[in-house]
Amino acid sequence: MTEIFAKIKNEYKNILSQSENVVDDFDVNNIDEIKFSPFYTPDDDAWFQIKSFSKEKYFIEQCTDNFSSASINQIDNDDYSDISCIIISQDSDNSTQKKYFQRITKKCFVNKTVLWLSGDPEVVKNKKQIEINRKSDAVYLADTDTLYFKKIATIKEIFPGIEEIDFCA
Amino acid sequence: MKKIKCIFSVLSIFRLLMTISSVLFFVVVFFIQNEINPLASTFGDFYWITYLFYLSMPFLITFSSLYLCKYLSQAKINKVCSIEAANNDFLANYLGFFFVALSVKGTATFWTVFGMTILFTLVSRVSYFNPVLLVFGFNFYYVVTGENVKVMLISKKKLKSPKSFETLCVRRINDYTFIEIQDDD
Repeated sequence: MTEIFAKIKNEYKNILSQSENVVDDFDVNNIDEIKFSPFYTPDDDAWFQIKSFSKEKYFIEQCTDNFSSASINQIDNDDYSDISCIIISQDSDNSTQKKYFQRITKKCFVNKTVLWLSGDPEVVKNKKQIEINRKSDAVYLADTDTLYFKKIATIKEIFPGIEEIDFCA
Repeated sequence: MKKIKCIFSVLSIFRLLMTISSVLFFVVVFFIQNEINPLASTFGDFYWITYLFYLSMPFLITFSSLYLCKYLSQAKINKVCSIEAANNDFLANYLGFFFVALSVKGTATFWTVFGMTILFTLVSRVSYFNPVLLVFGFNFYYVVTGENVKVMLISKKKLKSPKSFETLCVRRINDYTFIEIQDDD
């Protein structure tokens, strides 16, 4: 089951559950893992990694594999504009869950006028929607307890305190 | 948009149905005690048919709201720290209401009491108790999740040990009450 949570102000709330995957599965074997350094920008297939992530003080409990979505409230209609990040919790092939994080800013709220193509075409305006990126800002794998990310500036709202991470110069 | 509107009204109907089904017994008791029988002329001596019909209404309505449960949003309970049976807590309050229904005299008083009961039950978005679910084999539990959050779980399973608790896919009745229905996988 795929679940989506959102961070609204300082609280996480449940958005929805569905059986289908939302984003492409993150395959650890297809990427380059590099240790974090602020002086380096990773390529397309390279991701920074933090091992033993659950021991760090900026670890959040929503990352744990047996996090119960019954522990958080359901999102209200008024909350959507305050979303600061979303977590997509998806089953991976070996039946553990992978958590995909995406930072949500005003840019992610898409408000286009589009032509819906179907047997009954119509012009749709002002549909309230948030774009879900194919490539997430961070991915956490519970079975190896490793966090993968691209830019530390993007994820510091998701994991407060992560900007103080030690790095090798 | 249409799909969302449709689900929204199903949710509101559902909430109303569930509230009504949990308080309908008071109406039934009141009607039977005060021998309210609009079909007396039709059935004559067989007045008990009407009463049987009254008695079946809470069961029918609860059964239909169970069917509507599959439109509720899903949630998961993976790990629990403690499990406590909650049947007895609510049954005592419920029986109290029975005695109120029995002692009320006059329809005006009755509808006032009944109206207030429905109102308070509807706005109390915290707990939800319906004794008919007990008849259908459901049990009420207070569980504390792995995140130390206490919620009410309605399930047919006999839950006792937090250690042997398996992941449950449940439906969210409100932010504090969850029900496990059979056709989820």
